[in-house]
Amino acid sequence: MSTDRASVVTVRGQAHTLEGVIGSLVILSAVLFAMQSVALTPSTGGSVDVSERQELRNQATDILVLSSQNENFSLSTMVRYWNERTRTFHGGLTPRLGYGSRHPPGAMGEMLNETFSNRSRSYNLEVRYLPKDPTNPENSTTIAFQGTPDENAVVAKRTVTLFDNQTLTAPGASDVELWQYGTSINDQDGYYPVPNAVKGPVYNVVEVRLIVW
Amino acid sequence: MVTQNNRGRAQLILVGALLLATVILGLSMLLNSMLLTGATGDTGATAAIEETDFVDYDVEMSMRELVVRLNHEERNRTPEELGAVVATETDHFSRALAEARARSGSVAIAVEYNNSSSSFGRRIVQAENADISDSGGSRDWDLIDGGGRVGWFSLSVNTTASQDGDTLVVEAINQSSGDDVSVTLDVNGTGVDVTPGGGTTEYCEGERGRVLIDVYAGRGFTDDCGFTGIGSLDWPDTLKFDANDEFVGKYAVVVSESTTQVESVTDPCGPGVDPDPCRAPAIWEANVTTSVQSNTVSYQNTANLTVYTNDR
Repeated sequence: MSTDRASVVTVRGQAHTLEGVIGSLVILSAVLFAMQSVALTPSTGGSVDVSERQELRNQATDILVLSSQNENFSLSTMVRYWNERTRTFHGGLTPRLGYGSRHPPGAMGEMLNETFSNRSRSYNLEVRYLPKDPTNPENSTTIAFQGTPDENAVVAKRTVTLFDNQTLTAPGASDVELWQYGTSINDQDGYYPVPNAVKGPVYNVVEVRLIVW
Repeated sequence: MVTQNNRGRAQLILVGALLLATVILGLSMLLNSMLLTGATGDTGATAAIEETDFVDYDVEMSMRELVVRLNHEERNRTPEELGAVVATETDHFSRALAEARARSGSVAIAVEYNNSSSSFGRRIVQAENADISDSGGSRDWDLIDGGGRVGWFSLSVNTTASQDGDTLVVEAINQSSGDDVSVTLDVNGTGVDVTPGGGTTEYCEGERGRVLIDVYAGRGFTDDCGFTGIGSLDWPDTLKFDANDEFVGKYAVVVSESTTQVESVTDPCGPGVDPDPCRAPAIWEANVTTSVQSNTVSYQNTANLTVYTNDR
């Protein structure tokens, strides 16, 4: 009798234990799944941090805005800081690299250096212009190329209007007006890649693009 | 032996656990979908707003530069002719800006100049090299005596026709406050010594016998010289000249009002009539409408842009 009773208590205890273990496993699985799935936003996986990208984009935009308002060395001055002899921006390394890992001139270069280079960030700075011939795919020139941007790169851009009667701004540049330059490398009249693509006193509307990653 | 009662109690724990797990899963999916939708929605709107963030500013800056160039391009246009030219060139600029933006984004932009809502000032031009004196030959005279704000004063000094030591004193006054700013220009070789009142002398070098000076902004066009220009005065409405000798050059001054108060130059410029100096129309306030349209942002902004200052 007592053996039977002990047997009943043991089996009941085992059943409770088994049910409890299964129940806790089910709840634990649900909680783990919920914890994993709640964080499923575009930033999940660590590849994209939305707030960090936003901050980066704000910094890039601020630099372009401040540069465009700089009286001594504006964005327009930067776009025209062209050296005919080296066929890149004045002080640049090569036409493909532009300033490369060196920082561009003026306050803009200092801001780029302090904001990005000193914090192990890379950036490309380029000028996109309207082509004279719409079928011509060549419509950008490099101010600074530091590499191929990764998938987390952000882009900030500003438009700058150039006028026919403006001149190049690099040291030693002649007072030849923009409309007088050729856009072919072998042009005898001097070479400036941005063409006169607009009727009237407007020369071109260019976009300065800052890509940071 | 497990009784029916005990088995039912054990199954109750399992069923409860399953129910609780279902609730947790349901809540997590609901929360997850809310977060995902919210995050996706924000990203799209933010990108669109960022694309349009500085459109107005870029348009304002470009339109000011464009209108200044067209104001100073010819001096024989009527206000209607000038307005028509500005409208045409604004259209060219608008297309170029729209194309530039369309190449890198999905924002459509259009800029329009409205001549009937714009206001005109006057531009006083001496286009030939001559002594800077009034019609009676006096070298101590008032070019403008009230009647509008001065917003532009460019001077091209002919250092070949002038002599070393020839001096022109320019004085700008705000009649309301009595404040004034003076600038002394002294021919020195191939350049000009420029001395603002109470300031240090700055040498502005010339090119091919000319020194181009922006007396309003206080800088040289042909050199990097800089000084305190008359634009530092709040609302200069009077411009006085005093030359000690034959100070030869050309000049252009723009004033905000088209009506004459007291001024020495009253002859209108025009074809067939070629007085020098003379008065030509100049757009002082340009009425510009900027339309921006994207998938998420659409607006139209009309502003009166003061061409020669940054007011709007």
